[in-house]
Amino acid sequence: MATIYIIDDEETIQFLYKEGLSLEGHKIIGTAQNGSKAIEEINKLKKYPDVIILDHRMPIKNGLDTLKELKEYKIINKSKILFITADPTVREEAGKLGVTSFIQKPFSIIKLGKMITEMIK
Amino acid sequence: MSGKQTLEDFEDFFDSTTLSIVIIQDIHKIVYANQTFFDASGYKPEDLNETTLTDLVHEDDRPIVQERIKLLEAGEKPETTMQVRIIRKDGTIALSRIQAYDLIFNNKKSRILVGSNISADPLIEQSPELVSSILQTLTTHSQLGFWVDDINDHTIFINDRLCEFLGYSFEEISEHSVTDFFHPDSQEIYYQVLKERMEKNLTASSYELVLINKDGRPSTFRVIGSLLYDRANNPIGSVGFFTNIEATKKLSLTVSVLNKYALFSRYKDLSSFWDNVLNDLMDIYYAEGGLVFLDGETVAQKGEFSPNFNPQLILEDIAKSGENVLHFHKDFSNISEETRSCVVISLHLNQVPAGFILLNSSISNLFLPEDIDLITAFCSQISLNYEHHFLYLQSEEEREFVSVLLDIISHDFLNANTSVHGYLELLNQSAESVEPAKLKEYIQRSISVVERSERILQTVQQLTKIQKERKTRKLVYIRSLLENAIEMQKSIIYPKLINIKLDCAKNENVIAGDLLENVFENIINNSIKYTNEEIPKLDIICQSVKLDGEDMVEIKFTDYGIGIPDEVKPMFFKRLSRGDHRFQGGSGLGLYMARVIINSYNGQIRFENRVANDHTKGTVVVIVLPSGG
Repeated sequence: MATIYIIDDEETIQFLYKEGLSLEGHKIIGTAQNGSKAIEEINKLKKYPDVIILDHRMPIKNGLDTLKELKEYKIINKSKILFITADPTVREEAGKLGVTSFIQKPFSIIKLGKMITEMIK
Repeated sequence: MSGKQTLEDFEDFFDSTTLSIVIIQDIHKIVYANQTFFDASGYKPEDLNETTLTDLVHEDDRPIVQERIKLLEAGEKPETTMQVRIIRKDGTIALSRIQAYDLIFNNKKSRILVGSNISADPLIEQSPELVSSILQTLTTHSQLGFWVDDINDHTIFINDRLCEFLGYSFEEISEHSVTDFFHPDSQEIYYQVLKERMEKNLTASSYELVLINKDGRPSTFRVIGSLLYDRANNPIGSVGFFTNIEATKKLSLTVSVLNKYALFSRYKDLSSFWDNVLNDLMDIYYAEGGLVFLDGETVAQKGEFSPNFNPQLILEDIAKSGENVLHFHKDFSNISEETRSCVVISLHLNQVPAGFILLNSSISNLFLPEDIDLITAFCSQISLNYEHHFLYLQSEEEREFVSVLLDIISHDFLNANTSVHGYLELLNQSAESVEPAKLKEYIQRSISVVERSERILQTVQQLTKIQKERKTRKLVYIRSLLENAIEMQKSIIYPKLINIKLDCAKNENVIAGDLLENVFENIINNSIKYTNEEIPKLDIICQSVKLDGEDMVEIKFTDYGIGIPDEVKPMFFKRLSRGDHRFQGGSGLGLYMARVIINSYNGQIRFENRVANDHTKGTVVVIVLPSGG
C-alpha cells in the first residue's frame, strides 16, 4: 500500500484516482490543482507521500515547473514521482530532474494501481 | 665632330649632360656609353659586353631599329630620329627619343646615339601638344572619363566622354574646376581625399564622387585621382580617371533594398513599411518627392503634390493602359508645379493593379530607361512580398487554428477518455459490490465528462466557423446583439434573476460577425456564475473611441462579482485557462475562444478591475472593435 499525493487540475480525474487506486489498497493523502498549492501542502504533511502523481499539462504552473520546485525543496528525494506526459522532450527533461516513472493519458486506472504497487516494492 | 678628335676630348662633357650617349660600331656593338646612360638604364659597363642595341629595345619597337640597321647595312642613310622604348635593367621601360649621327671613333666608323628620356619629363612642361595628343589617343576610344586640372584647379584637359556626360562643351568646362560639377556632398568627400593624400603623402587615391550634368542629373563615378609633379617634385596639377558606376550602383542598391525587405512578410506591423520603401527608392534614384498609393489610399507620401493630383485617376490610367509603367512626358502640372521628371510604376496584387509607386523630381530627364526597368522590377518584387505577407499571416492563423484543434484533441479529449474509461473500469470491477450512491456518482461523473466532450466538440465547430467567418465580416449593430445575448442568459438562469443595465445607442455598430453574440453570452454568463450576490449585477456601456487614430467602439462589461487576481488575468485568454477555481468543470475554452473571435475581427479584449487596485470588487471586461462608421 502506498500513500499518494495527486497534482492534477481536473477534479474528475482526481476523484477517479481516489476511487481507482483505493481498489489496489493505496491511500490518497492529498490533492492539489496546481504545483504551488501542492508544494505548500506537502511541506505541511507529517510524512512525505510514497508517490506523487504529477500531471504535466496544468495551467499557471505546469508539471515540469512544479518538478523543479519539488527538487528545490528536496521532496523529490523523499517521494517517488509518477509523471504524466506524452511529450518526449518533456520526458527527457523530467528524467534529468530525477523522474524515472512515466505514464501517458489515456490509461487504465486498474493498471495504474498495480504500477504504483510495483514502484514502491 | 671630326675623326681627329678622341673620346677623352668629350668624356667630361658626355658625363655631365642629361642626355644618354651611346656609341656603336659594326652596326651592333656598343663600344661606349656615358654615365647618364648607366644612371638612367641601371646597366653597368660589363652588362654591355655581349649586348647589342636591339637587345635594349622593347620587343614591339625592335622592328624600327632592325629596319634602320638594314638600311645602314645596305649603305643607305636612315632617318636620324626615332622614338623607342628602352628596357631598363630592372625590367621597367623608359620612352626615349633618340638622335643618331655618324662619327669616327677610335679611328673607326661609328654611330653615336643621343637619347633623351621623354617619359621621365614633365610632359605638360615639355610639350603640351604632345600631352594633349597622347591623352586624346588614350581616352577617346575609352569609356573612361579623363580630366586634368592645373595647380590652380583650372581644367587643362577633359575628354569627350566626360563632356558628353556633363552636357557642356570643352570651352564651357575649361573655365571651371572639376569641383564645380560635384554634388555638394561630393565636394566634401573630395577635399577629405585631398587632405588625406597630403597627410599620408600618397600620390594617388580612389574614391566615389557624384557629378551633376547640365540638366542637374546626378551620376556616381569611381575616380582614380593623382597629383602631377614637375622635375623638382613640386605639384603642378592633378589628373583623374572617371568610371561611371551609376547603373551598377543603382542595381546593387536596388537589390540590397529588396533583400532588406525579403523577410518583411514576417513583420506584424506594416505601418512604416511603405514609408521606408519610398525613402529608399527616393535615395537610390535621386527623387525629391514620391508617393505610394495602395488599395484606395495613400500609404506613404513625401513632398507636396498639386491640388489636382488624383491618385485614383492615375490608377485607372494604369489599369486602362495594361502597362506596368505610366509615362509622363511634358505635362507634369497634375503632379506638382516643380516636377520636371516623373515615373509611375504599378503595384499588382493578385495580378490586378492595386496601386502604384510614384517618384518625381525637379530635374529634367532624371529617370533613364534603365532606371525605369530597375524600378519596375523592384515594384513587381515588392508587390509579391506584400502579398506574401498576408499569405504568411493567414498561414500563421491557420497554424494556430490547427494547433488549437490538436491541443483540444490531445488534451481535453484524452482527459475525457481517461475519466470515462476509468469510471467504466471501476463499474466493471466492482459493480456488484459498490454502494448504490457511489454507483450513481460514477455514472453521473461519466455523463458530465461526456457532456463536457460535447461542449468541446461545439467549440471545435465554433473554431471552424470562425475560420470561415474571417472572410465575411459585416456591419453589426451591437445593441440588438447585446439584447439577444441578455435575453438568452436570462432564460437559461430562470427562475433566478439578473440585474443588467444596458447603455448603448441603437445605431452603434461595428465590423464583426455572427460569433460576436457568443462572446457577449460568454461574458454575461461568467458574470452570473462568478458572483456571491443573490441577484448578479452587470453594467454594459458602449462608446465610440479612437485607437491609434482609428475609429473604434468600446464595450465595457462591469460586474460586481468575486473578481480575478491581477497575476491570473493574463492566463484567462490563453489556451489552458482553468487555473482559477471559478472555472472548474468548464471546458476552459470560453475566454480563449472570446479572444480568438475578437482578434479575428481586428479587435482587442482585456480585463480591468472594477475598483482600481482591488480585484475582489469585480471585473470589467473591455472589448474594442473597429467601428462600422
